[in-house]
Amino acid sequence: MDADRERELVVRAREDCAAFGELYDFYLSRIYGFIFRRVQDRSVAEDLTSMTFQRALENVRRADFRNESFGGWLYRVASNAVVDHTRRDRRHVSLAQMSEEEEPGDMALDALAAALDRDQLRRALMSLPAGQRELLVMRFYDDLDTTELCAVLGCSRETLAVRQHRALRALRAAVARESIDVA
Amino acid sequence: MWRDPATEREQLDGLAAELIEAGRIARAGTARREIPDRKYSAELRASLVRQMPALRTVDGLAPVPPTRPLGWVGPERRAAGRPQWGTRREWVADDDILRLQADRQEDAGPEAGRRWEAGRRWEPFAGEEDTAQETSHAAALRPAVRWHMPVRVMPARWVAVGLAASLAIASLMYGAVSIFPTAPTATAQEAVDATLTRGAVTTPLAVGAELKSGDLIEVGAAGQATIAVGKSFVRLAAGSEMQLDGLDPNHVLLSQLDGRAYHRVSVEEGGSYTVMTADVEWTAKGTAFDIDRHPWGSDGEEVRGLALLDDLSLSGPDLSESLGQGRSATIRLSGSDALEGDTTLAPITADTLADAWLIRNAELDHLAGLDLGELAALMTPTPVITPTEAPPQTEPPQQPTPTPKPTPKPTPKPTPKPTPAGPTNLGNLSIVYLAETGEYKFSWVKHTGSWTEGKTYYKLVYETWDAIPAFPGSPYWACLESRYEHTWIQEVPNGDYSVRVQVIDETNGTVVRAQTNVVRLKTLPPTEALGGLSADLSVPGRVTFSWTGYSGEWPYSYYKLVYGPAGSNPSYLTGASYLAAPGVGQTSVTIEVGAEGFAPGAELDLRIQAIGYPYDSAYAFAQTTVLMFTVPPSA
Repeated sequence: MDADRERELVVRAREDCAAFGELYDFYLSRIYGFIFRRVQDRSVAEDLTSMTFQRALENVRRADFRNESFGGWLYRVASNAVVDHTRRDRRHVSLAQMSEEEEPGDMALDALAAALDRDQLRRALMSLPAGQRELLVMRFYDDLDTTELCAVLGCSRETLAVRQHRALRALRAAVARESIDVA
Repeated sequence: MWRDPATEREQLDGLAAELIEAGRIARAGTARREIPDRKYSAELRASLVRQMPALRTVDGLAPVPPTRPLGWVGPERRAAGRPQWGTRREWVADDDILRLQADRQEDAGPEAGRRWEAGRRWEPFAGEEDTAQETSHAAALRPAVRWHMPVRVMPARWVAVGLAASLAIASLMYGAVSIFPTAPTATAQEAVDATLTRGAVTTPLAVGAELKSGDLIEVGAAGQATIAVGKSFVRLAAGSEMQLDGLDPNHVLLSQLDGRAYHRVSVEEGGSYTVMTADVEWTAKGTAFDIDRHPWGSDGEEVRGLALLDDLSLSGPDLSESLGQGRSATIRLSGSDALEGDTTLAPITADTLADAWLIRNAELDHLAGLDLGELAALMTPTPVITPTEAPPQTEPPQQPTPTPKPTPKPTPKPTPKPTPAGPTNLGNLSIVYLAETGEYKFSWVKHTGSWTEGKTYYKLVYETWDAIPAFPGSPYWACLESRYEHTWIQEVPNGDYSVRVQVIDETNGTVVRAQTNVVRLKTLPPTEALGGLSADLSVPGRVTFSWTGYSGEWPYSYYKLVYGPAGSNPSYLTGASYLAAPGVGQTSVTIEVGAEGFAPGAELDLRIQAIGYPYDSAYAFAQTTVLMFTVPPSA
């Protein structure tokens, strides 16, 4: 969505249900997909999506809402909802199961890794630190644009560029290590 | 094969390209599953949009759209106002209504007259528009209404006298109720997975919604709803449809189009409460009756009415019957809603009453302190399904019950009596035993009413079994702050509890907004040891296994003779196969050598387990020790 149009809709959405409806229509499937890739459960995805949009509704009506990247902000709320959900779920499992539990977003990482052609690259991706894995998954699997990524990760465009560059370099180094191990 | 590019930049670009391609492939692989359900999307949209404030207009005058789109003639209906089978209603959000009407304006011809438009302004008649264009005086054609105040003000006392006289005359002519606004007579007291269709628009039915004559309420397959009309109310079961034809609190007229409903009547002397099922009228003379309308035969329907408290009369073409309390009537309708065959009149039997829907209504009415009539029979203890009161089984019953589940029973001691218009009922609290962890999983229907973050909670409250849990006062196991957290898992200390979930709103004092039914939770005992399992090989080709029977208090469904390879410690709960499922009370079973899983020479671990299904999950109430066994040769 065009950034100016989005900002205009957010302003109008404080009082105009049609404007909020347009934002909802544009982002629903994106946010739902983002959550579903991480939880792989329809009803959980629906609950978390509902929670995300409920928060969106409550926040756009506040005078102090920072109308910079509504989409990115939505992804951040969704991402936090997934993390909270995973943590809550962990409280309900035994210690034995806990060690095997996946990090939030690991299901998305698995899906991205499974689609990679090369085993070495797949293993290299899995060996990266969590923060770098998360960034690469959101960038390449969720297909978030720079503005959205900045909003989700809470950083500037310059910082994002540096972090993405470092993540790719780390991935390259990990591929090199994997190649040596195989040899 | 991986080849190092010459420069770092190329290498990184190459990696990024691979990741982009992998992302595209991964997204394509799951794209179908990532599309949100249409109904869910529309429902969420409508729910969010409903929370938005009404649109402001320039003059501050809230626009009121027509009640139905222009040109809409209503759904085709069968006799007695029943919609055609297969009529599909779509969710329509508020702004969609406006959009739809705007679209229709473009399509409509000049006869359409004044139009509602998405731009919220009045448009002139089509003919006037033409004139306006010709004369360039369009502004003059728009209506302009202004208040005109008289210049000379009358003395205040004469104004007061005049107003009083006008009101007195108007009251005499139209009745006081028409002059002075009163509270709505019909409202939704409970709404789970239910819709309200008014005009052409279907929206989710919200708790507290004011209802009007002509409204159609439909309850989904997992839903329920309660509609109050004056002091009367009707509880609608899952899958039911009810049209509200007349909502005068003392002259209620409903059309029960499908499904089941429990009617509780309270009208003044001389009033009436009538339910139509096609051309047959069910009129309450008393206070409680149940009507169940369901498909019958290839395209017909059967309607059964139960007079549960006081009398019920039914009348229709060539039909006039009166049912005393405790009697039932069954009629049949053809595919065209014509009365077919004879009316069956019969007493209400215990089998008829042993019905989950009636039990639920009995529980709710009991809690509300209402007279139960025939349903009072359901309030007596039922020893078979109450483990603590079940007598020890001395001989095997003829037909073992497949899935015995302890069911809630009312408390024997006095409890606070909520009024029928009290908290929304969230239905049953589901409890599932998780055998792997020994925990219990509690889940309930998500509360859809108002929810203030940080002030509204789900509380999983409990008491010992002889008391009704209620907040504040009762202890609780969980307090969940998000309306979307409607599941809780935890271990429960040994005990016998009554449990429920309540939605507590502390925005303004402590208010119970909604609650589930009370459910009994008696923690499961440790698996009892039955001693050894013995094998008799005296008959060639056959092995007879015998064991000591389980005599504990919990109802089990059958034994399972489970087996696995040597050293496997087989258990039915972890998926082990079984050679036989002896019934309740049996203490031996014979297996033919060569039967599936019992091949000659096989080395097996065997054991007997008494399996029951408390809390929707298999559980071994007792088991023998493992018998290490080598299958003998066949005969």
